[in-house]
Amino acid sequence: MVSFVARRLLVSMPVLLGITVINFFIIKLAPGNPVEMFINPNTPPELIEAKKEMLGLNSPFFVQYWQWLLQLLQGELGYSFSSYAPVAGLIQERIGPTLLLAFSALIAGLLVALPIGIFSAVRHNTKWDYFLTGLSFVGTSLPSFFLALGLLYLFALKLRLLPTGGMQTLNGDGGVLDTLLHLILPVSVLAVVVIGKKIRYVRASMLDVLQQDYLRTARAKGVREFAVTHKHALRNALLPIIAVFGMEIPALLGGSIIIEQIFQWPGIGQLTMQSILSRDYPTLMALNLVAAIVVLTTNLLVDVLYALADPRIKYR
Amino acid sequence: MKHVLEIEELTVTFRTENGDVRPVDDISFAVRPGETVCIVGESGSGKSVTSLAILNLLGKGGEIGPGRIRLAGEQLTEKSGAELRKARGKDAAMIFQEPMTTLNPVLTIGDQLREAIRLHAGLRGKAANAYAAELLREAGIARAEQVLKQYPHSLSGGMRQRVVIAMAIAGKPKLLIADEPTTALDVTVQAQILALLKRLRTDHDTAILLITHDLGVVAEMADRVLVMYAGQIVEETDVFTLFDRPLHPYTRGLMKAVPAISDGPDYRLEAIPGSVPDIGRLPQGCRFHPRCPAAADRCRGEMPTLTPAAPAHLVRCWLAGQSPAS
Repeated sequence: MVSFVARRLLVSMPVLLGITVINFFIIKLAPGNPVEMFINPNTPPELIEAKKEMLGLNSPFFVQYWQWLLQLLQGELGYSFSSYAPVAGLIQERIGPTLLLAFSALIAGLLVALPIGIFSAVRHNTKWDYFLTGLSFVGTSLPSFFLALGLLYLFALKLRLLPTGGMQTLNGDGGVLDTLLHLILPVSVLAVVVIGKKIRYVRASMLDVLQQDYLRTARAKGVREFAVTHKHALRNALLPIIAVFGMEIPALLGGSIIIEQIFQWPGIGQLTMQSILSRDYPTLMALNLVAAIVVLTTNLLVDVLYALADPRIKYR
Repeated sequence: MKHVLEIEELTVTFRTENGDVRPVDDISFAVRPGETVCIVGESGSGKSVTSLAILNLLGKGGEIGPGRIRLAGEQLTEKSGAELRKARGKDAAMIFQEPMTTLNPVLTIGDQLREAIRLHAGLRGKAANAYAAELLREAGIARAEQVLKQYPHSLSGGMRQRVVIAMAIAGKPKLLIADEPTTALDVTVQAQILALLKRLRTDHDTAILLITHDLGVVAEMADRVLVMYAGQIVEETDVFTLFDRPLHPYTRGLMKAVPAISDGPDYRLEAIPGSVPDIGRLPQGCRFHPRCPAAADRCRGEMPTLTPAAPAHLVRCWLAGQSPAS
């Protein structure tokens, strides 16, 4: 197992490198450049030219990439073109809130989708099953920005129970409880999408397992029905469930871009949006690098969890 | 207690889109302590459904009734779900056909054995583990401690069936219901498993209800035999009479369909023509008449009843009294 993980980490290095090349290329393909994006249109062209030269934007594509890579290999992510702040610092202060948001949504999604999916599968083709499957359909179909606005209107504006955005009350005590209150709405929106999709997966996976002979063996032993479904069946249904929940982590990071805008959540999503608009190449490259690392790590994590969940899976 | 298991006029109904079907239709039989009763018949004769109905393991769609099932002196058909669950594994335990799929692949042998032990012997922790190893040894597994830590996929089919048997005897049941326990195993392992079942019967005076389509297994194991066809018992007698003097044309057909080692290479095996009728579309009269070589007019119109043709020899055939076995 340890050697498997080590080998996978080694293999992911060239993959990561390839991703950065493609990302760099795509970012450069976007029209406009950082200088034009934030400089007064009346600036004399020679000043613009000088600025471009200073930022290294006039060198050929591969030279620019090579410089970026050399910098990265020295552990340096560069400085933002728009704020001149170190990129590493920008990401460092924003990754925390995003991870908090994404993992809260993932855990909330898991806690709701798992029992509902199991319940739905056990009561296959009953009114309950139809109702819950219908609900999951609604959850998947609702656009998250629409749901976000609806919830904001209801809970923040009308009922005044929850804050409209941000991570903490301004001039507040900054306590955990305050952050939790601010988390409720964005997490709910992200979780609804997760729940809608995952109920189907959990249900399908459980239905598959519920047909298996070993459940009859367990019943014949006199095992309680609850233990038959939640111990014997669920352990076997976990594999596909681990896979789909693992794949949800990158999706949640992507999905939080919109949600962070709506709820003014001070996370990576907001930073990404700003960097795209200002063509802030160093920040964008760093953000992409982080995203790529998240995806690759998640894949590896899923594979490791597989082996833990199913004794038949052995890595050499 | 005279009988471990008494089944009276049992019917099992499955509700399907095309109406109700009865894979088990009004059957009655009893098993005495320490006795081995075999149920034989082709696929679709209702023998497996009968075995599953005893502990109500039919699953969704299968309904038991009318009829009564008495297990270890207690009326199972009147019990609630929780009471019935207590009887499972304790009064009667089951061994299934496919040892490859009857064990949970993600739990160790120890986990699965200890679960049965906790439920029926009330042991936990080290005591449960020691008892689990003892059960495995009783089922003929030598390196028991090691096997307890293993997962089903690392054991052979024969070993897994031994594990299933060890699990079944954890609650010291009075009755073992074995549904084709050797069908999926190769011949040498089959013989070992049958020998193991025999030993359990003599050691613990456990009654065995053995479901099989293999007449070789019947000859080896049975005290008494029930022959089932299309959901009904068509013949019931002791094993010697059955092989010496089978009365029902179906039983005789089954006997002829067994190849003998003395048959030459050019010998054509006799088979019963046709196949078991669809239980949704049963023929009028005797259910076997479309395949019966001796069918008369009466067989086509009127269902024969299970009647004694000799002492302790029941047959469901109009012609049984008239045409002795040839």
